[in-house]
Amino acid sequence: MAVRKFTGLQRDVLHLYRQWIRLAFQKPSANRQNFLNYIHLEFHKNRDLRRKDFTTIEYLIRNGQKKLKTFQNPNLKNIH
Amino acid sequence: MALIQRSLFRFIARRGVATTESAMATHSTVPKMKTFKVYRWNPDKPAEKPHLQTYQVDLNECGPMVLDALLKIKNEQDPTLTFRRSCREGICGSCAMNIEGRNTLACLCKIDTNVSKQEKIYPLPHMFIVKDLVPDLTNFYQQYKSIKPYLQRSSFPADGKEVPQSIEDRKKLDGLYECILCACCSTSCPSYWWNQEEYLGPAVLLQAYRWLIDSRDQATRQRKDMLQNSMSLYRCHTIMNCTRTCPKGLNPGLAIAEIKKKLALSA
Amino acid sequence: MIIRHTRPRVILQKRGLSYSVPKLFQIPLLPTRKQKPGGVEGDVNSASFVPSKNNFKGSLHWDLERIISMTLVPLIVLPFITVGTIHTITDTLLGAMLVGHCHIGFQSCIIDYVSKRVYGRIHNYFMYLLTVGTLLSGVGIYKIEVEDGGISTVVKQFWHD
Repeated sequence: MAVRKFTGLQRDVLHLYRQWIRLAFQKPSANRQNFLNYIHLEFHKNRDLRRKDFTTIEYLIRNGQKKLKTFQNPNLKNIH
Repeated sequence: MALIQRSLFRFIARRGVATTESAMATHSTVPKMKTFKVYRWNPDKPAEKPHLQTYQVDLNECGPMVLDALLKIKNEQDPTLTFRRSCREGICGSCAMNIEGRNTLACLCKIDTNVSKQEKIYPLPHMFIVKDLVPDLTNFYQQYKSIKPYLQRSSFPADGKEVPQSIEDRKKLDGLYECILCACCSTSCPSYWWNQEEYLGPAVLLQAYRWLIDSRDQATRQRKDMLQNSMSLYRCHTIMNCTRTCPKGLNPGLAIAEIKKKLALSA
Repeated sequence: MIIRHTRPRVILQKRGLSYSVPKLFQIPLLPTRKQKPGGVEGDVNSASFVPSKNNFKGSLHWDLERIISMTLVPLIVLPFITVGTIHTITDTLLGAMLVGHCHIGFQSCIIDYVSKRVYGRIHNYFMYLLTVGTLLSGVGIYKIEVEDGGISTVVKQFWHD
Protein backbone atom coordinates (compact mmCIF):
# COMPACT_ATOMS: atom_id res chain seq x y z
CA MET A 1 0.00 0.00 0.00
CA ALA A 2 1.35 3.40 -0.95
CA VAL A 3 1.95 5.83 1.88
CA ARG A 4 -0.40 8.74 1.57
CA LYS A 5 1.41 12.04 1.06
CA PHE A 6 -0.10 15.07 2.72
CA THR A 7 0.45 18.67 1.77
CA GLY A 8 1.98 21.04 4.31
CA LEU A 9 -1.36 22.51 5.25
CA GLN A 10 -2.98 19.10 5.68
CA ARG A 11 -0.14 18.08 7.94
CA ASP A 12 -0.65 21.25 9.96
CA VAL A 13 -4.32 20.42 10.43
CA LEU A 14 -3.52 16.85 11.49
CA HIS A 15 -0.87 18.15 13.86
CA LEU A 16 -3.36 20.54 15.41
CA TYR A 17 -5.89 17.72 15.77
CA ARG A 18 -3.34 15.50 17.51
CA GLN A 19 -2.37 18.29 19.88
CA TRP A 20 -6.02 18.71 20.82
CA ILE A 21 -6.53 14.98 21.38
CA ARG A 22 -3.40 14.89 23.53
CA LEU A 23 -4.82 17.79 25.51
CA ALA A 24 -8.03 15.87 26.10
CA PHE A 25 -6.01 13.03 27.62
CA GLN A 26 -4.30 15.39 30.04
CA LYS A 27 -7.62 16.39 31.57
CA PRO A 28 -9.40 14.38 34.31
CA SER A 29 -10.63 11.12 32.82
CA ALA A 30 -14.21 11.73 33.94
CA ASN A 31 -14.44 14.81 31.74
CA ARG A 32 -12.41 13.46 28.82
CA GLN A 33 -15.44 12.65 26.71
CA ASN A 34 -16.63 16.25 26.98
CA PHE A 35 -13.36 17.45 25.54
CA LEU A 36 -13.38 14.85 22.79
CA ASN A 37 -16.93 15.78 21.83
CA TYR A 38 -15.98 19.42 21.68
CA ILE A 39 -12.90 18.72 19.54
CA HIS A 40 -14.85 16.54 17.13
CA LEU A 41 -17.61 19.10 16.84
CA GLU A 42 -15.17 21.94 16.12
CA PHE A 43 -13.30 20.00 13.47
CA HIS A 44 -16.53 18.68 12.00
CA LYS A 45 -17.91 22.20 11.53
CA ASN A 46 -15.39 22.97 8.79
CA ARG A 47 -14.89 19.61 7.19
CA ASP A 48 -16.59 20.73 3.97
CA LEU A 49 -14.08 23.50 3.41
CA ARG A 50 -12.56 23.61 -0.05
CA ARG A 51 -9.11 22.09 -0.05
CA LYS A 52 -7.65 25.11 -1.84
CA ASP A 53 -9.22 27.68 0.47
CA PHE A 54 -5.83 28.41 2.01
CA THR A 55 -6.62 31.69 3.72
CA THR A 56 -9.56 30.21 5.61
CA ILE A 57 -7.73 27.04 6.59
CA GLU A 58 -4.74 29.06 7.74
CA TYR A 59 -7.03 31.28 9.78
CA LEU A 60 -8.70 28.27 11.39
CA ILE A 61 -5.33 26.73 12.25
CA ARG A 62 -4.13 30.01 13.78
CA ASN A 63 -7.33 30.29 15.78
CA GLY A 64 -7.16 26.64 16.83
CA GLN A 65 -3.61 27.13 18.10
CA LYS A 66 -4.68 30.16 20.09
CA LYS A 67 -7.62 28.29 21.63
CA LEU A 68 -5.35 25.35 22.38
CA LYS A 69 -3.09 27.65 24.40
CA THR A 70 -6.08 28.83 26.45
CA PHE A 71 -7.29 25.28 27.01
CA GLN A 72 -3.85 24.12 28.14
CA ASN A 73 -4.34 26.01 31.39
CA PRO A 74 -4.26 23.24 34.07
CA ASN A 75 -7.02 25.01 36.00
CA LEU A 76 -9.37 24.29 33.12
CA LYS A 77 -10.71 20.87 34.01
CA ASN A 78 -14.02 20.49 32.25
CA ILE A 79 -16.17 21.93 29.47
CA HIS A 80 -19.85 21.56 28.80
CA MET B 1 -45.03 91.04 39.53
CA ALA B 2 -44.04 87.41 39.97
CA LEU B 3 -46.85 86.36 37.67
CA ILE B 4 -45.67 88.65 34.88
CA GLN B 5 -42.13 87.39 35.28
CA ARG B 6 -43.25 83.77 35.04
CA SER B 7 -45.34 84.33 31.95
CA LEU B 8 -42.44 86.22 30.36
CA PHE B 9 -40.13 83.29 31.04
CA ARG B 10 -42.65 80.89 29.59
CA PHE B 11 -42.96 83.05 26.46
CA ILE B 12 -39.21 83.15 25.95
CA ALA B 13 -38.95 79.43 26.54
CA ARG B 14 -41.66 78.74 23.97
CA ARG B 15 -40.03 81.06 21.45
CA GLY B 16 -36.74 79.23 21.95
CA VAL B 17 -38.27 75.84 21.27
CA ALA B 18 -40.13 77.17 18.24
CA THR B 19 -37.00 78.57 16.62
CA THR B 20 -35.02 75.36 17.03
CA GLU B 21 -37.93 73.34 15.66
CA SER B 22 -38.23 75.51 12.58
CA ALA B 23 -34.47 75.38 12.04
CA MET B 24 -34.53 71.59 12.17
CA ALA B 25 -37.50 71.49 9.80
CA THR B 26 -35.69 73.52 7.14
CA HIS B 27 -32.60 71.32 7.43
CA SER B 28 -34.31 67.95 7.25
CA THR B 29 -36.19 68.83 4.07
CA VAL B 30 -33.09 67.97 2.03
CA PRO B 31 -31.58 64.73 3.32
CA LYS B 32 -27.86 64.45 2.66
CA MET B 33 -27.40 60.76 2.14
CA LYS B 34 -23.77 59.76 2.29
CA THR B 35 -22.67 56.28 1.24
CA PHE B 36 -20.24 54.42 3.50
CA LYS B 37 -18.53 51.25 2.39
CA VAL B 38 -17.31 49.28 5.37
CA TYR B 39 -15.04 46.23 5.42
CA ARG B 40 -16.89 43.25 6.85
CA TRP B 41 -15.58 39.86 7.84
CA ASN B 42 -17.17 37.45 10.27
CA PRO B 43 -14.89 34.93 12.02
CA ASP B 44 -17.87 32.66 12.72
CA LYS B 45 -18.22 32.06 8.99
CA PRO B 46 -14.56 31.78 8.00
CA ALA B 47 -15.29 30.32 4.57
CA GLU B 48 -17.02 33.54 3.53
CA LYS B 49 -14.60 36.01 2.04
CA PRO B 50 -14.32 39.55 3.39
CA HIS B 51 -16.43 42.10 1.54
CA LEU B 52 -17.40 45.76 1.55
CA GLN B 53 -20.88 46.45 2.85
CA THR B 54 -22.69 49.63 1.81
CA TYR B 55 -24.57 51.81 4.28
CA GLN B 56 -26.47 55.06 3.73
CA VAL B 57 -26.35 57.71 6.44
CA ASP B 58 -28.18 61.05 6.48
CA LEU B 59 -25.49 63.59 7.36
CA ASN B 60 -28.12 66.01 8.72
CA GLU B 61 -28.90 63.64 11.54
CA CYS B 62 -25.35 62.55 12.18
CA GLY B 63 -22.36 63.99 14.01
CA PRO B 64 -19.45 65.41 11.99
CA MET B 65 -16.94 62.59 12.54
CA VAL B 66 -16.62 59.17 10.93
CA LEU B 67 -17.01 57.54 14.34
CA ASP B 68 -20.41 59.23 14.71
CA ALA B 69 -21.48 57.71 11.41
CA LEU B 70 -20.22 54.27 12.44
CA LEU B 71 -22.06 54.48 15.76
CA LYS B 72 -25.20 55.59 13.94
CA ILE B 73 -24.93 52.64 11.56
CA LYS B 74 -24.43 50.26 14.49
CA ASN B 75 -27.34 51.75 16.45
CA GLU B 76 -29.89 52.04 13.68
CA GLN B 77 -28.97 49.83 10.76
CA ASP B 78 -26.67 46.95 11.59
CA PRO B 79 -25.87 45.99 15.20
CA THR B 80 -23.45 43.31 14.01
CA LEU B 81 -20.96 45.89 12.74
CA THR B 82 -17.90 45.56 14.99
CA PHE B 83 -15.26 48.17 15.75
CA ARG B 84 -13.28 49.39 18.75
CA ARG B 85 -14.13 52.75 20.24
CA SER B 86 -13.97 54.37 23.61
CA CYS B 87 -13.29 58.03 24.27
CA ARG B 88 -14.59 59.57 20.99
CA GLU B 89 -12.12 62.46 21.40
CA GLY B 90 -8.79 61.10 20.20
CA ILE B 91 -7.11 60.20 23.47
CA CYS B 92 -7.65 56.45 23.77
CA GLY B 93 -6.51 55.33 20.32
CA SER B 94 -9.08 52.56 20.07
CA CYS B 95 -10.81 53.60 16.87
CA ALA B 96 -7.73 53.55 14.62
CA MET B 97 -8.74 52.41 11.14
CA ASN B 98 -8.06 53.04 7.48
CA ILE B 99 -10.45 55.74 6.26
CA GLU B 100 -10.25 56.83 2.63
CA GLY B 101 -6.83 55.20 2.32
CA ARG B 102 -5.33 56.93 5.34
CA ASN B 103 -4.74 55.42 8.74
CA THR B 104 -6.39 57.66 11.26
CA LEU B 105 -8.66 57.77 14.28
CA ALA B 106 -12.32 57.59 13.29
CA CYS B 107 -13.16 60.03 16.07
CA LEU B 108 -10.75 62.67 14.73
CA CYS B 109 -11.58 62.22 11.04
CA LYS B 110 -14.30 64.46 9.63
CA ILE B 111 -16.78 62.97 7.20
CA ASP B 112 -16.24 64.33 3.70
CA THR B 113 -19.44 66.33 3.14
CA ASN B 114 -19.26 65.74 -0.61
CA VAL B 115 -22.23 63.36 -0.83
CA SER B 116 -21.45 62.22 -4.36
CA LYS B 117 -18.31 60.47 -3.13
CA GLN B 118 -18.36 57.20 -1.21
CA GLU B 119 -16.39 56.86 1.99
CA LYS B 120 -14.47 53.60 2.28
CA ILE B 121 -13.52 52.28 5.71
CA TYR B 122 -11.06 49.42 6.20
CA PRO B 123 -9.31 48.06 9.27
CA LEU B 124 -5.63 48.91 9.82
CA PRO B 125 -3.73 47.45 6.85
CA HIS B 126 -1.65 44.26 6.97
CA MET B 127 -2.84 43.12 10.37
CA PHE B 128 -4.63 39.92 11.24
CA ILE B 129 -8.30 40.71 11.62
CA VAL B 130 -10.34 39.61 14.62
CA LYS B 131 -13.65 40.80 13.19
CA ASP B 132 -14.80 43.54 10.81
CA LEU B 133 -12.73 46.62 11.74
CA VAL B 134 -10.95 45.07 14.71
CA PRO B 135 -7.30 44.14 14.08
CA ASP B 136 -5.24 41.80 16.24
CA LEU B 137 -2.72 44.05 18.02
CA THR B 138 -1.15 41.35 20.22
CA ASN B 139 2.19 41.56 18.43
CA PHE B 140 2.18 45.36 18.65
CA TYR B 141 1.64 45.31 22.40
CA GLN B 142 4.23 42.58 22.91
CA GLN B 143 6.74 44.75 21.09
CA TYR B 144 5.80 47.70 23.26
CA LYS B 145 6.37 45.57 26.35
CA SER B 146 9.77 44.43 25.06
CA ILE B 147 11.21 47.98 25.18
CA LYS B 148 10.38 48.21 28.90
CA PRO B 149 8.30 51.38 28.79
CA TYR B 150 8.82 52.42 32.38
CA LEU B 151 11.40 54.32 34.43
CA GLN B 152 14.41 52.15 35.24
CA ARG B 153 16.68 53.39 38.02
CA SER B 154 19.30 51.78 40.21
CA SER B 155 19.44 54.60 42.75
CA PHE B 156 16.68 56.73 44.19
CA PRO B 157 16.83 60.11 45.96
CA ALA B 158 17.79 59.90 49.62
CA ASP B 159 14.64 61.66 50.78
CA GLY B 160 12.55 58.89 49.25
CA LYS B 161 10.52 61.35 47.27
CA GLU B 162 10.12 61.94 43.55
CA VAL B 163 12.99 62.10 41.03
CA PRO B 164 13.28 65.75 39.97
CA GLN B 165 13.69 66.84 36.36
CA SER B 166 14.69 70.23 34.99
CA ILE B 167 12.34 72.18 32.74
CA GLU B 168 14.72 71.76 29.78
CA ASP B 169 14.88 68.00 30.25
CA ARG B 170 11.10 67.84 30.50
CA LYS B 171 10.83 69.83 27.26
CA LYS B 172 12.68 67.04 25.41
CA LEU B 173 9.71 64.75 26.03
CA ASP B 174 7.27 67.07 24.26
CA GLY B 175 6.11 65.54 21.02
CA LEU B 176 6.86 62.08 22.39
CA TYR B 177 4.73 61.62 25.47
CA GLU B 178 1.55 62.52 23.54
CA CYS B 179 1.65 59.24 21.62
CA ILE B 180 -1.45 57.19 22.39
CA LEU B 181 -0.22 53.96 20.74
CA CYS B 182 -3.07 53.76 18.25
CA ALA B 183 -0.80 51.84 15.83
CA CYS B 184 -1.74 54.10 12.89
CA CYS B 185 1.92 54.83 12.11
CA SER B 186 3.24 51.30 12.53
CA THR B 187 0.59 49.83 10.24
CA SER B 188 1.23 52.48 7.59
CA CYS B 189 4.93 51.57 7.38
CA PRO B 190 5.88 49.26 4.49
CA SER B 191 8.88 47.97 6.46
CA TYR B 192 6.50 47.01 9.24
CA TRP B 193 4.22 45.30 6.71
CA TRP B 194 7.05 43.04 5.50
CA ASN B 195 8.74 42.34 8.85
CA GLN B 196 6.36 43.13 11.67
CA GLU B 197 7.46 40.08 13.65
CA GLU B 198 10.97 41.51 14.04
CA TYR B 199 10.98 45.24 13.19
CA LEU B 200 9.60 47.23 16.11
CA GLY B 201 7.79 49.83 14.02
CA PRO B 202 7.57 53.62 14.38
CA ALA B 203 5.16 53.76 17.34
CA VAL B 204 7.26 51.51 19.56
CA LEU B 205 10.52 53.16 18.43
CA LEU B 206 9.07 56.57 19.28
CA GLN B 207 8.42 55.23 22.77
CA ALA B 208 11.91 53.70 22.88
CA TYR B 209 13.30 57.17 22.15
CA ARG B 210 11.03 58.72 24.75
CA TRP B 211 12.67 56.49 27.43
CA LEU B 212 16.15 56.89 25.95
CA ILE B 213 16.21 60.65 26.41
CA ASP B 214 14.36 60.78 29.70
CA SER B 215 16.88 62.39 32.08
CA ARG B 216 15.51 60.33 34.99
CA ASP B 217 16.08 56.97 33.32
CA GLN B 218 19.35 55.16 34.11
CA ALA B 219 19.06 52.15 31.78
CA THR B 220 20.13 54.03 28.65
CA ARG B 221 22.94 51.53 27.98
CA GLN B 222 20.60 48.51 28.01
CA ARG B 223 18.01 50.35 25.96
CA LYS B 224 20.60 51.15 23.30
CA ASP B 225 22.00 47.60 23.26
CA MET B 226 18.50 46.28 22.71
CA LEU B 227 18.34 48.05 19.35
CA GLN B 228 21.82 47.01 18.19
CA ASN B 229 20.81 44.46 15.56
CA SER B 230 19.75 44.53 11.96
CA MET B 231 16.00 44.08 12.54
CA SER B 232 14.66 46.01 15.56
CA LEU B 233 15.62 49.52 14.48
CA TYR B 234 17.51 49.45 11.20
CA ARG B 235 14.62 48.19 9.08
CA CYS B 236 13.51 51.84 9.07
CA HIS B 237 14.31 53.22 5.61
CA THR B 238 12.95 56.71 6.37
CA ILE B 239 9.84 56.21 4.23
CA MET B 240 8.09 58.72 6.53
CA ASN B 241 4.59 57.29 6.10
CA CYS B 242 4.44 57.31 9.90
CA THR B 243 4.81 61.06 10.19
CA ARG B 244 2.35 61.70 7.39
CA THR B 245 -0.37 59.54 8.89
CA CYS B 246 -0.06 60.28 12.63
CA PRO B 247 -3.50 61.50 13.77
CA LYS B 248 -1.91 63.32 16.72
CA GLY B 249 0.54 65.24 14.52
CA LEU B 250 3.66 63.66 16.03
CA ASN B 251 6.87 62.83 14.18
CA PRO B 252 7.95 59.20 14.72
CA GLY B 253 10.29 59.45 11.71
CA LEU B 254 12.31 62.15 13.45
CA ALA B 255 12.43 60.17 16.68
CA ILE B 256 13.82 57.13 14.84
CA ALA B 257 16.42 59.33 13.14
CA GLU B 258 17.43 60.69 16.55
CA ILE B 259 17.85 57.14 17.90
CA LYS B 260 20.04 56.27 14.92
CA LYS B 261 22.14 59.37 15.56
CA LYS B 262 22.51 58.50 19.25
CA LEU B 263 23.54 54.94 18.45
CA ALA B 264 25.92 56.01 15.67
CA LEU B 265 27.88 58.39 17.90
CA SER B 266 27.95 56.25 21.03
CA ALA B 267 28.65 52.72 19.77
CA MET C 1 -20.15 5.25 9.07
CA ILE C 2 -20.26 8.97 8.55
CA ILE C 3 -21.89 10.14 5.37
CA ARG C 4 -20.28 13.34 4.22
CA HIS C 5 -22.91 15.85 3.37
CA THR C 6 -21.90 17.91 0.44
CA ARG C 7 -22.79 21.39 -0.67
CA PRO C 8 -22.35 23.10 -4.02
CA ARG C 9 -18.77 24.13 -4.52
CA VAL C 10 -18.24 27.77 -5.26
CA ILE C 11 -15.64 27.96 -8.00
CA LEU C 12 -15.30 31.68 -8.41
CA GLN C 13 -14.07 33.34 -5.29
CA LYS C 14 -13.37 36.89 -4.33
CA ARG C 15 -9.93 36.91 -2.81
CA GLY C 16 -9.22 40.59 -3.25
CA LEU C 17 -9.95 41.68 0.29
CA SER C 18 -8.27 38.81 2.11
CA TYR C 19 -5.71 40.11 4.53
CA SER C 20 -3.49 37.07 4.70
CA VAL C 21 -0.19 38.85 5.17
CA PRO C 22 2.36 36.11 4.44
CA LYS C 23 0.58 34.82 1.34
CA LEU C 24 0.50 38.21 -0.39
CA PHE C 25 4.23 38.86 -0.17
CA GLN C 26 5.61 35.41 -0.73
CA ILE C 27 8.03 34.91 -3.56
CA PRO C 28 6.52 32.23 -5.81
CA LEU C 29 8.16 28.77 -5.95
CA LEU C 30 10.32 29.34 -2.86
CA PRO C 31 9.58 27.10 0.14
CA THR C 32 8.88 28.96 3.36
CA ARG C 33 9.34 28.14 7.00
CA LYS C 34 6.40 27.64 9.29
CA GLN C 35 5.32 30.90 10.90
CA LYS C 36 4.11 31.47 14.41
CA PRO C 37 0.30 31.52 14.62
CA GLY C 38 -0.75 35.15 14.15
CA GLY C 39 2.91 36.18 14.16
CA VAL C 40 2.84 35.95 17.94
CA GLU C 41 5.03 33.97 20.32
CA GLY C 42 3.93 33.28 23.87
CA ASP C 43 0.76 34.57 25.46
CA VAL C 44 -0.84 37.99 25.31
CA ASN C 45 1.13 39.38 28.24
CA SER C 46 4.61 38.25 27.27
CA ALA C 47 7.11 40.62 25.69
CA SER C 48 8.38 40.02 22.18
CA PHE C 49 11.78 38.44 21.58
CA VAL C 50 14.82 40.77 21.67
CA PRO C 51 17.70 39.71 19.36
CA SER C 52 21.22 39.59 20.79
CA LYS C 53 23.44 42.65 20.53
CA ASN C 54 25.63 42.90 17.44
CA ASN C 55 27.15 46.29 16.65
CA PHE C 56 28.39 45.11 13.25
CA LYS C 57 24.82 44.45 12.19
CA GLY C 58 23.53 47.51 14.01
CA SER C 59 25.03 50.95 14.36
CA LEU C 60 28.45 50.23 12.78
CA HIS C 61 26.75 48.88 9.66
CA TRP C 62 24.60 51.98 9.54
CA ASP C 63 27.64 54.24 10.01
CA LEU C 64 29.44 52.50 7.14
CA GLU C 65 26.37 52.88 4.95
CA ARG C 66 26.17 56.64 5.65
CA ILE C 67 29.91 57.19 5.20
CA ILE C 68 29.89 55.46 1.81
CA SER C 69 26.81 57.42 0.72
CA MET C 70 28.36 60.72 1.78
CA THR C 71 31.74 60.10 0.16
CA LEU C 72 29.96 59.20 -3.07
CA VAL C 73 28.59 62.73 -3.40
CA PRO C 74 31.91 64.45 -4.21
CA LEU C 75 33.30 61.31 -5.87
CA ILE C 76 30.60 61.41 -8.55
CA VAL C 77 32.03 64.73 -9.78
CA LEU C 78 35.76 64.61 -8.98
CA PRO C 79 37.01 62.02 -11.53
CA PHE C 80 35.45 64.01 -14.35
CA ILE C 81 37.20 67.28 -13.52
CA THR C 82 40.60 66.02 -12.34
CA VAL C 83 43.60 64.79 -14.34
CA GLY C 84 46.74 62.73 -13.67
CA THR C 85 47.36 60.93 -10.39
CA ILE C 86 44.46 62.56 -8.56
CA HIS C 87 42.17 61.39 -11.32
CA THR C 88 43.35 57.79 -10.94
CA ILE C 89 42.90 57.90 -7.17
CA THR C 90 39.44 59.45 -7.25
CA ASP C 91 38.29 57.15 -10.03
CA THR C 92 39.46 54.05 -8.15
CA LEU C 93 37.77 55.32 -5.01
CA LEU C 94 34.56 55.93 -6.94
CA GLY C 95 34.67 52.36 -8.25
CA ALA C 96 35.25 50.90 -4.79
CA MET C 97 32.55 53.03 -3.14
CA LEU C 98 30.03 52.23 -5.88
CA VAL C 99 30.54 48.50 -5.35
CA GLY C 100 30.18 48.94 -1.58
CA HIS C 101 27.10 51.11 -1.96
CA CYS C 102 25.36 48.62 -4.26
CA HIS C 103 26.32 45.72 -1.98
CA ILE C 104 24.78 47.37 1.09
CA GLY C 105 21.68 48.39 -0.87
CA PHE C 106 21.02 44.89 -2.16
CA GLN C 107 21.80 43.44 1.26
CA SER C 108 19.07 45.64 2.69
CA CYS C 109 16.62 44.41 0.03
CA ILE C 110 17.43 40.77 0.84
CA ILE C 111 16.98 41.31 4.59
CA ASP C 112 13.64 42.99 3.90
CA TYR C 113 12.11 40.72 1.30
CA VAL C 114 13.90 37.36 1.66
CA SER C 115 14.04 37.42 5.41
CA LYS C 116 15.61 34.66 7.44
CA ARG C 117 12.43 34.33 9.47
CA VAL C 118 10.39 33.30 6.42
CA TYR C 119 12.88 31.65 4.07
CA GLY C 120 15.52 30.25 6.40
CA ARG C 121 18.46 28.82 4.48
CA ILE C 122 17.39 30.48 1.22
CA HIS C 123 18.15 33.83 2.85
CA ASN C 124 21.75 32.68 3.28
CA TYR C 125 21.92 31.49 -0.35
CA PHE C 126 20.77 34.91 -1.51
CA MET C 127 23.51 36.50 0.62
CA TYR C 128 26.15 34.19 -0.91
CA LEU C 129 24.84 35.06 -4.36
CA LEU C 130 25.16 38.74 -3.53
CA THR C 131 28.74 38.28 -2.30
CA VAL C 132 29.66 36.44 -5.50
CA GLY C 133 28.05 39.22 -7.52
CA THR C 134 29.93 41.89 -5.59
CA LEU C 135 33.25 40.08 -6.06
CA LEU C 136 32.60 39.68 -9.79
CA SER C 137 31.71 43.35 -10.20
CA GLY C 138 34.82 44.19 -8.16
CA VAL C 139 36.93 42.27 -10.68
CA GLY C 140 35.07 44.03 -13.50
CA ILE C 141 35.72 47.45 -11.98
CA TYR C 142 39.40 46.53 -11.52
CA LYS C 143 39.65 45.61 -15.20
CA ILE C 144 38.00 48.86 -16.22
CA GLU C 145 40.43 50.80 -14.03
CA VAL C 146 43.50 49.01 -15.41
CA GLU C 147 42.62 48.49 -19.05
CA ASP C 148 40.08 51.19 -20.00
CA GLY C 149 41.43 54.09 -17.94
CA GLY C 150 38.75 54.25 -15.29
CA ILE C 151 34.99 54.52 -14.91
CA SER C 152 34.85 58.20 -15.84
CA THR C 153 36.64 57.51 -19.13
CA VAL C 154 34.18 54.74 -19.99
CA VAL C 155 31.23 56.99 -19.15
CA LYS C 156 32.71 59.81 -21.27
CA GLN C 157 33.00 57.42 -24.22
CA PHE C 158 29.19 57.13 -24.32
CA TRP C 159 29.09 60.64 -25.71
CA HIS C 160 32.05 60.34 -28.04
CA ASP C 161 31.23 57.11 -29.87
